[in-house]
Amino acid sequence: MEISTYIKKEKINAIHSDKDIYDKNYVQVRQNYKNQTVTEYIVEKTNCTEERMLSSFRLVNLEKDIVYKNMMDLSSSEKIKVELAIPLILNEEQIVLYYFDLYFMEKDLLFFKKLFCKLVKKYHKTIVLIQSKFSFTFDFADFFLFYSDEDHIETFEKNELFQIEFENSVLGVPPILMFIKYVNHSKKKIGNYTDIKELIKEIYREV
Amino acid sequence: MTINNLSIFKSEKPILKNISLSFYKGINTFLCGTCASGKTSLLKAIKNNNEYNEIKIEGNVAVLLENEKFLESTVEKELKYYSLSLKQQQFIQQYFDSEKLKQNPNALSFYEQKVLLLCTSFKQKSEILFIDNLYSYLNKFDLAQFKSFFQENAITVVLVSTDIEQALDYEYMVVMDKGKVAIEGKTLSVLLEEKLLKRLGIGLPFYVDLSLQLKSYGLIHDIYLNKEDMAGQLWK
Repeated sequence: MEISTYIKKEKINAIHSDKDIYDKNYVQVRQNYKNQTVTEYIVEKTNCTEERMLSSFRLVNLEKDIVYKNMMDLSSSEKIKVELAIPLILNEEQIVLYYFDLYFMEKDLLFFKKLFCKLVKKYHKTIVLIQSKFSFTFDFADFFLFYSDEDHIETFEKNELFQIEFENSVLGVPPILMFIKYVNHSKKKIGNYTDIKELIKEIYREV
Repeated sequence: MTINNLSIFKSEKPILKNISLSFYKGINTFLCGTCASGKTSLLKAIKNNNEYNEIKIEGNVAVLLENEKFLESTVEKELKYYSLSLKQQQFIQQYFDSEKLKQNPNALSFYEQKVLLLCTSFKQKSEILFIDNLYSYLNKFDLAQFKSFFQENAITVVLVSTDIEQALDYEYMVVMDKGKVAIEGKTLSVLLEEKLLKRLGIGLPFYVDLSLQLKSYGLIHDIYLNKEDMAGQLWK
């Protein structure tokens, strides 16, 4: 069975794999950009109006004056935002992002987590995030797929994450998850939290 | 290796503004920054250091950019495989068997291309190796393999990454913002500049964040960087 058959529509799906599930159509920074402005690049890919382009740019937090910049002069984070704007302009139902989190630090990642939730809830999109680590997705994705080969695909809902045995996994596991599992196993039963603030509240009550 | 007052302009706009930094053999460095802060531009300048009088290099320095193109027709040629030491060849064989070595690098899978890029550093015999984001693609096992191989072979790594959890594995840390160095120093002392990092939108590694917050409630008195120490302090 193909991995795409597991994807849940109108949800945020996180696929974590130590295998290659690369596809050139995924949202990602390309290796070769031509010597063209952002407007030229977007029009070539989408044939859209300027108004449509600018409204998608606002959605992905790109400033208006980027349209005059050369694609080759953009930073990696600007390039990936331009790439994300393309399926939004084309109004694609499913958006697949490949290692999207690599280009951003915490504040921007928080912005995109909120954007993905909004795209699902308000615009009924299906979001698929593919990466080896799940530190980025574990606190906001709805559905998780752990994939090592086609015969071995494990799926989990959000509330099942703490039941997974990660000790021998090659995937990067969020330290909050490992910490809670360790405390539950060796010290004291505490709740399953994905938010550090909630964890601290419980520690404050318990210690 | 020193950079003294380096400024770079692109389309008349400053990309790097008066950057002064030193990188020393034996001191692994974690370099991060805000979006479009000039991290990759800095690496490109180091790679083309002969164009800049502001960059002084003693010894061998190599730069691995994330989207580097492969120029040779086979993996073997790309790696200069037969000029490498036996130890390096053995390391490479874990990822590329004899059949793969004969393949065109551009025909490899995405993941294999990232691994190959890291392996190309061997032929450069570098003492200081700058890595742009490549570690973030690797699974936990392969990441550990590369880290220990570079360490065993006395290769100092300067890692450019957004994965703040990795910072604690590096002795020194540099944070860039808007083409300038916002802060640099020993990693833990930089991470303890919580307010500045927050203003820049840069989070803290989980255990540093947890330690600082629990300290502010008087529940612990120090920074604990692993689950055993942290839990041991909280539930004695």
